[in-house]
Amino acid sequence: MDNLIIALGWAGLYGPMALGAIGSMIGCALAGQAACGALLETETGHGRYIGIAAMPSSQSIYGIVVMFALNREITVDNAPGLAAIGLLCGLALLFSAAWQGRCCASAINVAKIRPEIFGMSLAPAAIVEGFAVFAFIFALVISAGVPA
Amino acid sequence: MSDYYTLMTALPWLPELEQCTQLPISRIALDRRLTMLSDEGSAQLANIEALFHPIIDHYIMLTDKDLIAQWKADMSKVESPVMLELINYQMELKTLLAALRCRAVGLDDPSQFHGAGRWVQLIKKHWFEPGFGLDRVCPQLLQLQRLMSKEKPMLVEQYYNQQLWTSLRQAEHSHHFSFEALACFVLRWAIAERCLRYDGDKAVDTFNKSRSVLLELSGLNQQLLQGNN
Repeated sequence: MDNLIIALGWAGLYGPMALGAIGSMIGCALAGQAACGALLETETGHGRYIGIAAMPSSQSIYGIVVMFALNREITVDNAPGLAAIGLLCGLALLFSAAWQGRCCASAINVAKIRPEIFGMSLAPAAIVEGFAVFAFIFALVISAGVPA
Repeated sequence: MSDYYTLMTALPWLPELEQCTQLPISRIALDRRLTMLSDEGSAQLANIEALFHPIIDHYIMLTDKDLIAQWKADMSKVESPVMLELINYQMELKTLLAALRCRAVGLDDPSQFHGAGRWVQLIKKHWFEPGFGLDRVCPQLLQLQRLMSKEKPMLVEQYYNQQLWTSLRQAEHSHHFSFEALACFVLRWAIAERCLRYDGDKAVDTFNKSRSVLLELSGLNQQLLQGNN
């Protein structure tokens, strides 16, 4: 039983990083595909489409920071706390990155048609990013309460 | 899930039908973009296009009854429920138009009328009522009747195209980055293309060609020739 609890602790420690990276892969792939399509259809502004496509990569960075914040010697006492914080934070990062990718794809699609609404079209992606930041910040705050 | 992200953003924006003065992409360029589709997707799209925008020459030899049978067989190959609904809607509008035209030319026996969709039985049952008993459930019927009574077929055609355009645009906006969105775009493109190449002379040629084929089929030509001799 102790081994299982310790394994969960390790999963919680590495979870934010791994799940955040999976989300970033999905999100960047969706937005990147949309950016490639927009390159075919437009003559200028290619750089910004590729820039938007990279937006969901921030969740991987948040995951790395949370992983370092949780990094400590894993014991039976602190493993459940690490698992709960790490896995839930990782899931939040995964979903936010995947859905942010869809928002970015839509932003690319409309900005291609009307370049003047480029900034406004990014608002939904920025809002989704806000929720990822909430998950990230409060994971850091709560991690201070997990026994070292 | 991600198959249509590149393809959809590689397509240009189609303005509203009444504002569309030129096509934003040629058929050649559109077909080049559509090569990104899988074989199965291409086959589905081709079938949907053939159902939505049938080539008259392929169907001119068929009777209404055979045409409906052929249409039902082709419909069974469509996999997307959204596209099935849209094609059904188009066929229902066509059925309404056909019923109004048949009645206008004096068809007195509703059992001779063939159509497709939810309203066929109602149309036959209420054949002699002005709105086929559909006034409340089908608001388009009143408008079609009004335009047909003015004897302006161009306005009827415009209204019909506008109805299809609206239904396709709504479906496209509800299914981002999907096969349905792509199919709706291609069908809207075809409506715009058809509207832009409306040509009176060509219409007369097509009418004459259709008339010749039908007269040939019915044997009327021979009877007329014998009568003249």
